[in-house]
Amino acid sequence: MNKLLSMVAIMALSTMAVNAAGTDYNVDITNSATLSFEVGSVAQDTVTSNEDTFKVDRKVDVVVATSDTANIVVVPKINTTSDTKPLTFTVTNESNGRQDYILSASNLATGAATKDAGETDSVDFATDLKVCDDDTCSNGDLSNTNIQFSEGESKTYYIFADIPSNASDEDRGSIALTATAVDDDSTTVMTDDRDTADNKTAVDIVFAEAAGDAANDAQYDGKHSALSAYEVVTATIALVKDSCVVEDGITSDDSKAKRIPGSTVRYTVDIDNSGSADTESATLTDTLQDDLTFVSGEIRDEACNCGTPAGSVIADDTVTANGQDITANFGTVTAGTHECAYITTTIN
Amino acid sequence: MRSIVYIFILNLLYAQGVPAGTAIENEAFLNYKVGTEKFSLQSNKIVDIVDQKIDMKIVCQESNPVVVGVGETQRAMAFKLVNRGNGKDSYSFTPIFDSSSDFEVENRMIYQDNGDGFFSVISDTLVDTVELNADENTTLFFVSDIPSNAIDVSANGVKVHSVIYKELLYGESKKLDTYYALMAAKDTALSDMCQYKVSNLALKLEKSATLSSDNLYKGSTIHYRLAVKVVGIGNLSNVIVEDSIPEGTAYVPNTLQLDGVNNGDFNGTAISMNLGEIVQERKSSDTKHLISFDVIVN
Amino acid sequence: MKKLIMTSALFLTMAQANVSINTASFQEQTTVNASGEQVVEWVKASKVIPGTIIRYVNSLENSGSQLATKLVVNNPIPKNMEYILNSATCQSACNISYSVDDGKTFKEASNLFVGVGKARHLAKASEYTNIKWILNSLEATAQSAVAYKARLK
Repeated sequence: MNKLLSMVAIMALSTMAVNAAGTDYNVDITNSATLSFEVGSVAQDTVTSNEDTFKVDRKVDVVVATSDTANIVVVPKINTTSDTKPLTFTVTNESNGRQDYILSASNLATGAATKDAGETDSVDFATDLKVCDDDTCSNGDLSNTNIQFSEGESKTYYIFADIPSNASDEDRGSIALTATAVDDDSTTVMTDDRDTADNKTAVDIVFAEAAGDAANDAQYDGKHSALSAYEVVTATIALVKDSCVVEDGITSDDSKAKRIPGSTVRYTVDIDNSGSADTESATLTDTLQDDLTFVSGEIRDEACNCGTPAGSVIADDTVTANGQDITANFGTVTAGTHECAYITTTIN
Repeated sequence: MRSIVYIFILNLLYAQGVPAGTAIENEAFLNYKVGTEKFSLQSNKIVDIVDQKIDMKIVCQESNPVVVGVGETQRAMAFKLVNRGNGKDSYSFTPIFDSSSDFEVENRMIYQDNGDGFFSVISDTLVDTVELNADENTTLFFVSDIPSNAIDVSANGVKVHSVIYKELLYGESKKLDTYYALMAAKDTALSDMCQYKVSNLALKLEKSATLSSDNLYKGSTIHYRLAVKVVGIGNLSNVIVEDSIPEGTAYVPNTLQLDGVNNGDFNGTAISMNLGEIVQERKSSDTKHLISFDVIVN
Repeated sequence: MKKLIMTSALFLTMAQANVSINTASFQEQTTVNASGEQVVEWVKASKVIPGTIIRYVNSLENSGSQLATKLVVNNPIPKNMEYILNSATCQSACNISYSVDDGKTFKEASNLFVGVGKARHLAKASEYTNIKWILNSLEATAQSAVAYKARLK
């Protein structure tokens, strides 16, 4: 009879689901053993032990990961939502049951690693961080709102930000997405029962997740985070003007020519793109003082040398005059190059 | 459109170019795109100072040789000096002489005209240095005595020197405070000559006046007589005698007469009488004329 | 200890043999003591999540007056627990064997096979279904215990 009873008890337990996350919480685990023995050589009645039961508690475990394999390249002044340049993450609930989380995005401190190997965060420039559930943020910022995950469920989230206009070429900003466990159907952060006395009637909560990438994200603190990063690739333009006298019609050594009425005076404008991105549609405007008359203009492909123009003339780049207003069309200035506009005038 | 008109006006103002010391400023503005984003940038500002072009020219104003008589003193020849540079300059002068001339003059002096275009020892000044702004001009008189042995032609003139930049040759420059001065005047512009031509025929003028009363009152009449005496041998053509009426008086119309007959013109400030051609073959002929006219005291 | 061997059935019914078996579960707890040292203790299992290691202890007590012999403890491993190989122990001399067929047959660990033909292999921990301890004897008023460890799946 006792044996039969114990067998039935075991069978009941075996219908409970066990999957990758482990045994669901609230399941009772019962252990029981039987003892048979003899006295003399006579078999005695088999004895069945008591049932030792404990409830499976809630193992809270979440993994936040990024699918970005490199820093996401942006230019200054953009709003990444409208330019669809988000950072992409997955949040996976590895608890042994349903678990709700709130998500938040944060800038990591300078010096934190970025997605590109060997590089670090140089400046916290991204502002107005938004956590969205699609790649156009059509449902708005979901930060700090309750999101329910079923056991083993994985969802994709996107962080969008604004890149300020004064961000410089090669600025890198690391941003973390943090998932924090909250009580069911609320935004109240869950507390861990690991160190409190066992509560026999309720299921306890035990944080089991690893330490994450964000600051103060330790092991077993009920949250996990992963980082991705933006990297600014832009043109860095230095604009330098110079002038020189080409000849005055009187001084025999042109290098000593003076600025007198009738002298030919040349202005140069040097565009130095020391950044990592090309500029496009670069247009220079320069209004000559009324004491000068425009003669000619050209754009060359090397750094300016006022006295002796350097490099070759770029045929497609034009310099035109409308009265005293001079327009020099540089078009595209490739990263890492200089171009120079030479504007030749005479003094009235 | 507007900017084109502006240039035109300035060109009128600065016929000799942008004034020395003018600051010419220039800066440029760049607009460019990176991806979809627009950026703009301003360059440094360049300020260049316009240098001074030193340029002047002196030109003899006598279209014909100045006719002089032997022994005459303080005979003037007119020169015009213009500052063709773009800044103020100061000039000094030296008399020059063409040694191939037929005779040498004496007591050479250079005077600056007071502005009326006529040489007068009283109203014109012996020149020291003359200061001219860009585009300004002045008239100078080369004045000398004709010696007793003068014959035919003597070429004399004035050489100009820039006082501030006198050591600079054409194409040389010198640093001033904030800009340079460049000598742009070639030697040929810096001097010129006029010619005296001796004439044996000369006019002597004697002027006298008679008052209508012992004292001069408003309304008093002054009767002027110009006695013209021709001396020497030769001929003079298109001889015109001019005389300004004094300040404070008004010409009495129809009183201008030549030898008692109404003749000549009054142009508002001076009477003018054309004596036509005078020919004298013998020294003793001594043609005489009398020019008379009246003025009233204002 | 008096040894009394009964051979008649009449005496069997009057034999005083009372061995009890009591099961309890424990888990490791690490605390830091006043000196800052880590102290590891086994406490009653109460915070159990998948992966937690539980030590089950079956305590035996012979509260009778007779010697008990051939004591056999059969502990089916709870369905959500996975036996930890070689963790079965006993306080007094015993023989330990395992079942992979829910207690129909028991073999020693080195002899415990699963599968037929090419799939036949030495049983993995996850295939163990029962543990059996056989103790030779337990004297009257004596106590003993057998134990094993398992991990919550």
